Amino acid sequence: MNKLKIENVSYRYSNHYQTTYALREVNAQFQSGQFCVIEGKSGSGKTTMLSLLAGLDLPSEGTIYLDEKSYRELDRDKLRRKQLSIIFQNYNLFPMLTVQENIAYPLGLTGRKKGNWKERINEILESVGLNETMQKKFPGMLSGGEQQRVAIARTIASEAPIILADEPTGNLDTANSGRIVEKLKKLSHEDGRCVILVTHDPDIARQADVLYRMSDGRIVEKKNRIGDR
Amino acid sequence: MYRIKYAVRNKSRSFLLILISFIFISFIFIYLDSIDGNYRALENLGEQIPVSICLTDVSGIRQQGLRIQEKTADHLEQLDVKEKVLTAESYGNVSRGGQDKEKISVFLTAANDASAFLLEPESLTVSMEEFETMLSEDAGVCLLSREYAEERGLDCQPGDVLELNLYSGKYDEIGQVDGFEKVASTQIEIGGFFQGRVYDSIMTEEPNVICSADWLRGQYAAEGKPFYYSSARGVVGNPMELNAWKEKARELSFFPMDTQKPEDIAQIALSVDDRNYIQTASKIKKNIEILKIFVIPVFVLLILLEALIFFLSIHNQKREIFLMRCLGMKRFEIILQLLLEGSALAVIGSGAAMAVLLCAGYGFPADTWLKVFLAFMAVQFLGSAFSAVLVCRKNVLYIGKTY
Repeated sequence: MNKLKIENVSYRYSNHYQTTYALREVNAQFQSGQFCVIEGKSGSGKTTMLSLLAGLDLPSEGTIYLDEKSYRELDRDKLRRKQLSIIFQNYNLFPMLTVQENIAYPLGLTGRKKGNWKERINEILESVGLNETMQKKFPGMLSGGEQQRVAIARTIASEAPIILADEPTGNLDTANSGRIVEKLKKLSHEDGRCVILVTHDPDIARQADVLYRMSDGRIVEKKNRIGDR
Repeated sequence: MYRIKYAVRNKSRSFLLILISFIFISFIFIYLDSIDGNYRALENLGEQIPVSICLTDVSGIRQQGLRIQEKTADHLEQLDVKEKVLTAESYGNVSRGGQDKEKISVFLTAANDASAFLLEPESLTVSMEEFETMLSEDAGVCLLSREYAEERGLDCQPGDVLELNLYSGKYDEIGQVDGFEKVASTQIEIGGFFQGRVYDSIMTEEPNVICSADWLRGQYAAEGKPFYYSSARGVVGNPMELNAWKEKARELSFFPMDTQKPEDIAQIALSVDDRNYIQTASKIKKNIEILKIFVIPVFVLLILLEALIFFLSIHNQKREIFLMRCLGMKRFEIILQLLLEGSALAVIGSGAAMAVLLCAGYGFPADTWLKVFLAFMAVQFLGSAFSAVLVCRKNVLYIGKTY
């Protein structure tokens, strides 16, 4: 993956009674190896933007391009299986699957040969600060911080070049929050992945390579700090 | 694979769906069996509450001492009357024995079945089986009244042969005997003795000799004399078609009873005791009608409930569906997984229900089992498919916002 580009994207939610614009003519660009943050208050449209980037829906107007190919032309299910991985604020792990099974789930979808995947899962768990004994536990038996680290482990296992994180630290304490952000930064800077993180936390926003500040569905500010790094 | 683990681990939900399938299938079969059971009860009601018939005079008062022509009795065959009991009477005299060979009068009653009489086993010198055989065969063997033999000084033993002259009565206009006409001279062997009363009615003449109706009929036939039965009764073979049966009886010239008419021995009427049968049959028919009326509403309700439960079950998995979509699973794959899971649980539940019902002795034809099972599975499948398609069609962003 080289470039993820949003061009004049607008998105509206509508029902029988009203239509609400969540995004209005948004333009943005994300690249591999960048830790990008979309900052904004609740209702500013940042989660909708992340969802569109995930290909969960198409924009009402405008286009999203991945390496110059429009999302409209791409198989977006395949895109999510192979190119994208999403981390949610509320972790979104399968409650009836163990930690190991949750992490291995994307492997099954991509059809990759599992090989020595158990060892790989152990390595990934270690890399997110969880030990081997966690493997057989169910998500309900873990703390919020641990669950979010499992979600990150799932993302790592998927080997997707783009990671979309929707307020991943929203439910975590400061220590856990710091650990998660550090891990995501490492994934972008060391593994060369493109991490796009949505948050309303200014402390996290300050750590971004590229920062987009949103308000009322529009990007009101863009900061590129790559040169500062 | 993960879906199987999911279903196995989510015990309460899986168990609920299995239980629902179990209950619904059981209910459907028990309901069908209830209708079937009522039909069976109706078909076998004739055995529980037989519709008995008897021939009477037109007024319905007199059931014995009638003059029933042979062809009238034969009509009962055409009416499929079972357990027929026919009696016939004849006058006669027998020789007392000794030098003078004095004739003493005798009254014979012939029957084709031992149930024509009230005789108990202890009042016979032969066994009931021998008595039955004697009456059912065309043999010239009789039972002699012990009291009659003693009063008339007849010195005879079982195995002795009586010289018997048979006479038929001449009847006046009101059916009273007014003289006799000789029919035949014959012999009859004494098979044994009976004692005590034969009938419980004082209206009926007590016999001195009991013999086979076929034998007596044969004696009259040999001399070319008309033979009459004095009573006839039995039960209707197939009471399910009672109205058609009565119509046929009318076509065969049986008079219906008319209690307003004076007693008339010359005209034979048919008395049908169907009150209990009709009352009970009406109740059963009403049950069947009610059950049948509710078949469609009950089944529709069950179908809707079943579809709703499977619908809700899938609707409750919106979060998992959202997650699967986010991980890149196609809509079709998700729908297929949900349908397979729901169908597997329904098969387990309904299969268990059918096994339990079979063990409990519910007997349905194989095609009924299959039809109900397939209908149930079709409904479950449609309910699940509708729900799965509805949830999966929904914009994932909306699902993500609402779970």
